Amino acid sequence: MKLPLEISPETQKGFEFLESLPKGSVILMCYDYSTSGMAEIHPSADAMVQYGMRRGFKFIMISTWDAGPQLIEWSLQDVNAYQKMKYGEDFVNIGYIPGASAGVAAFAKDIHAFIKVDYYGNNLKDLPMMKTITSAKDINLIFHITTGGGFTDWLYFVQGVYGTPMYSAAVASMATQAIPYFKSGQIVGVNNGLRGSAEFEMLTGTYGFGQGGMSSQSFAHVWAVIVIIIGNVLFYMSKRRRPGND
Amino acid sequence: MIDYDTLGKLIGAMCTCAILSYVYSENPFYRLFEHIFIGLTAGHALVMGIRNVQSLAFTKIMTGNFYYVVPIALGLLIYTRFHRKYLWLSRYPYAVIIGIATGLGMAGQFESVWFRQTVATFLNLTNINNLIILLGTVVCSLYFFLSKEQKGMYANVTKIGRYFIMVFFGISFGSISMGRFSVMIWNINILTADPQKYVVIAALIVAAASILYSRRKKTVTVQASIK
Repeated sequence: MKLPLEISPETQKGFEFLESLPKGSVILMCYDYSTSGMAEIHPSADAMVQYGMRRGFKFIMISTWDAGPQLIEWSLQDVNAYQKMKYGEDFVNIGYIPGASAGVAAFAKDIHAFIKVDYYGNNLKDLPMMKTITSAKDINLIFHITTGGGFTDWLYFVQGVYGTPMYSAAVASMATQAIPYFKSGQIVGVNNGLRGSAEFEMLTGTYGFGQGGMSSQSFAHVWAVIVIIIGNVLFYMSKRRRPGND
Repeated sequence: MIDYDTLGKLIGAMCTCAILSYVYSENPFYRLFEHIFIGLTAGHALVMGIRNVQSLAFTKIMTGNFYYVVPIALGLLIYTRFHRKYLWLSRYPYAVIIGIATGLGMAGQFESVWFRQTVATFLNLTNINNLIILLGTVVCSLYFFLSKEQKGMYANVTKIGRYFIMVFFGISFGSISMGRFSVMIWNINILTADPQKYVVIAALIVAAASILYSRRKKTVTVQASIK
């Protein structure tokens, strides 16, 4: 059973920005989360790769979290990226980059000076796609998927310094911190938790856990509200029945 | 031949069931998997640390970039904290770390936070939302201005700031709850798929048997004490 879902302005504006990007645009997919955040934001990652494949975007996969490379692999397998795209020409998996904020700043300044090989050990300079991409200036969008960490690093040291547009797919608890940056125009869009992922799937014409899970979540919310009301009514009634409260 | 994918799914389901068993009560299965989780996390962090040093420093030294010896030496100096006599040497690497963090923080935050976020509050005050944003920004900032004692009229103003902060915490709490629902739905999706569901059925049988056994044991103990 599918419940109706309204598209929030944060997702809508972000999608409109994606639609304005031309074919061949370079998207930096940054997987800054671990398995604990998968439920909410992994569907956004899958939807973005699927949408990008359809639009002819080029992808650089990266993570500043040590759990990230595994999530990149899962995301690529989810959408059959190895069969549908050509490695080195359409997408590159750099994997984990260490150094947190200092690492992000160094990567943005000169990719080839900071990273010599990709996740599979290939020389980065030998990959056709990477020959023209040398710094953050050559990237058209940072699609940052996060449970919290890493968001400010990319915002301060890449978006703030080079002006590279940034889109945040964040877990719901983190999205409240990302939305002020959307309101100020520093980031182009925000996917707010599972709801944002469901909205993003609807806009991009993909179907995954986002839409399926959101219906279950809406029911869970209705159930939570009913339980809270019943609990309060019972509490009120038991208080009235208690001796001395007459 | 072992199918590692299936094996991984079964172990994953077993871990989830063991951790979720804490909802009923603390038990040896929960403890075992809690310790395994902590051990694996610590081991993973150690391996990642070694790999980072290897890729960022050792490999570069081997290719002729000898100045990478400097960060390695600074890193090693941190361990002088374990020796009272040479403890002072550990202040140098800490000074470098704090210096770099401050430099990076100042450079990045000035534009992205101080400047852009302040400019974002310069709004056209023609609608109620913009008025609320301006009011909230001012009163929340005043709440954290600790150089003036919060009393009288000023205390009433900062109290409004506190209410704004409480609303933010409420929204954050709601968002976190929503996130936890998502995780639970995701896990139920995984646990009800093949072959994980067989692990769940087995775990439920074991849990039911152990609950019945412990209750029976409790009843027998109570009866024995009455006699």
